[in-house]
Amino acid sequence: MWKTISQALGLNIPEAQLDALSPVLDALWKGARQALDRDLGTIDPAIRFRPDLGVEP
Amino acid sequence: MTIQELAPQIQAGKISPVELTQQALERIRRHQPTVNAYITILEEAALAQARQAEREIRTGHYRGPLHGIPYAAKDLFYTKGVPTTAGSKILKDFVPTHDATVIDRLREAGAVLLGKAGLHEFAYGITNNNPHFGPVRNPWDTTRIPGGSSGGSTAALATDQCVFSLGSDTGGSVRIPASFCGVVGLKPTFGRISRYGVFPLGHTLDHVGHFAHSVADAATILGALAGPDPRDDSSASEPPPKIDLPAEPKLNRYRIGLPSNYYFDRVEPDVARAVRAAVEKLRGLGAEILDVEIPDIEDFTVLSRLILLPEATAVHRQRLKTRRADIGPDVLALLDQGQFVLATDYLDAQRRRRQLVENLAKLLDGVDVIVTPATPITAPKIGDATVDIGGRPEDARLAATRFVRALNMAGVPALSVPCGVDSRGLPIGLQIFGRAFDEATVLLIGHCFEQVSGWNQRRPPL
Repeated sequence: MWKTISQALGLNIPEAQLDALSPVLDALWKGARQALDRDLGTIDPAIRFRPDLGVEP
Repeated sequence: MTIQELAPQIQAGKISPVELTQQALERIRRHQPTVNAYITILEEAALAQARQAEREIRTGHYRGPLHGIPYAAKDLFYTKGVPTTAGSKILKDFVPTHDATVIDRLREAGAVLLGKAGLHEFAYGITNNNPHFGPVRNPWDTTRIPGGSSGGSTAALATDQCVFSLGSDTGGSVRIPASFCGVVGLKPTFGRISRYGVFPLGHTLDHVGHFAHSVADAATILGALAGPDPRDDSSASEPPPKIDLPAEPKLNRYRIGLPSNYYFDRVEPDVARAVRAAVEKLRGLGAEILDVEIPDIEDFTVLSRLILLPEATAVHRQRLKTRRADIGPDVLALLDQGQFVLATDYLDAQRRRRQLVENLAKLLDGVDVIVTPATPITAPKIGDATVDIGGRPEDARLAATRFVRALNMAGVPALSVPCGVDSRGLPIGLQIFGRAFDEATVLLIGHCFEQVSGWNQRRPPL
C-alpha cells in the first residue's frame, strides 16, 4: 500500500528506504485507527491561530 | 556550583564573572574532545560579556541572579551573527540576523553565552548521535548516548562546562537528556516561554525548556525566561510565575498522584525501584500519595506521534525534496513517515488532544502533581537502535519517549529530577507534572525531594 501511495504522490522515496518504512507505517496506522475510532466531529482541533501576527523574518 | 551559590558571591564581588567564564571555557577545552557537547564555542564573545558584567556589578548595576552566570544554548536558538545549525549539515552556514527572545532575555539578565550546544539533527531524535557534528557522549559513560534532542545542553551541564543551559522539548527532548545525564530539566507549560527565534520541529508541540543543577536554579531561570511575547503566536498572556521554595522540605498539604496504569509497565527494574523509593521520600515529607489512573494514555502516546510526524515534515518539506542526501538516515525516515499521515487523522488527533487535556485537568483537580519515571530505561549505548526491557526488545526511541510524549500534547509543566542510579551507576529521572501554568507546585515538590535525596549533587567521573 505504501509503495502505491508513494508513487501516486510522487514522493521519490527510494525503494529500499520505503521497504524499511513499511512495517513502521503499518504499526502506526494500526495504532492510529484504534486511537481515532470514535466520533470527534464536534470538537475543535487544538490548533491556535492569531490573525495579528505576520511571518518571522 | 549552582546559581543559588554563585549569585550572592558574584553580587558581593567575591567571585568574578570573568574568572567564572574562564573556568567554564577551560572545562570546555578539556571535555570537548571526549564529550563533544558544543557545536560552536564563543570564547571571545563570552569573555567580553563577562567583562561587561563584571564592570556593571562593580559599579553597582547588579541585574539579578543570572548576572555574570555562564550558560549554553542548544544550537537551535537563533543567535544574531552566530551560526545556528539546528544540528544539520544543511544549516551549517546559517547565521541569523536576530536573536531568539530567550537569548534576548538572558542577555538582559546579564547571563554570559558560552556557546551553542550539540543536538540531534533538527532536534528530531533522542540519541544526539549526530552524523554531521559527531555524537554527543554521556559523561557518565562515554560509550552511551546523553539522550536528546537537547543532549549537548545536558552533557555540558553535567560536566560543569556551563552553569545552566537551554533546551527544547517537542516529545521529551528536555526530560529525556535530563534523566540520562542526571541533571534537572524543566519543560514549562506550553506558551509559558516564547518560541520566537527557535528553529521549529512541531509547531503545536514545541516547548522551550532549561537545565540546571538544582530545582531552585531551574525556578530562577524560569523567572528570567517566562512571560508574554507579542512576536510568538503560541505565547501565553500569563506573567512569569511567583515561585516560593521553602527552606524546610515539608509537603504536609500536598497530594501526589502515582499512576496505577501504564507508567510502571515495561520499565527497567532499577528505574522502577528508584522511582518508588522517591515516592516513599515524598511520603516521608508528609505528602499524601494517591493512586491515579490516566485514561487512554497509550492512545495519546500514539497520537502525539501522529501529530508530530506531519508537523515536522511540513517544516522540512522543501529540504526533503531537494536535500535528501544531506539529511541523516534516522531523521530522513521520520520525515518520510510524515508524508503518509492523512490530514483527517492529524486533525482528529488534535481533537482527541482536547480530551487528554480534559482528562488530566480532572485528575489534577484531585492531586497537586503526578509523579512517574521520566524514562523507562537509563542511557542506551551509542548506536543501539533497540533496548532490552525485561527480555523484550523495544525501539530505543519509542521506549525513551514513552512516558514523556503525551505531556507535550497536554502542554502541562513537567520536570525531571535525578532520583537514583542503576546498577551501572547511570542516572535515573523522576518526572513530576502538574496543572497548566502551575510550575510553582511542580518545582516546589521537586525542590523538597531534592533537599532530602541529594541525587542532584552527584557528578560524573570525568
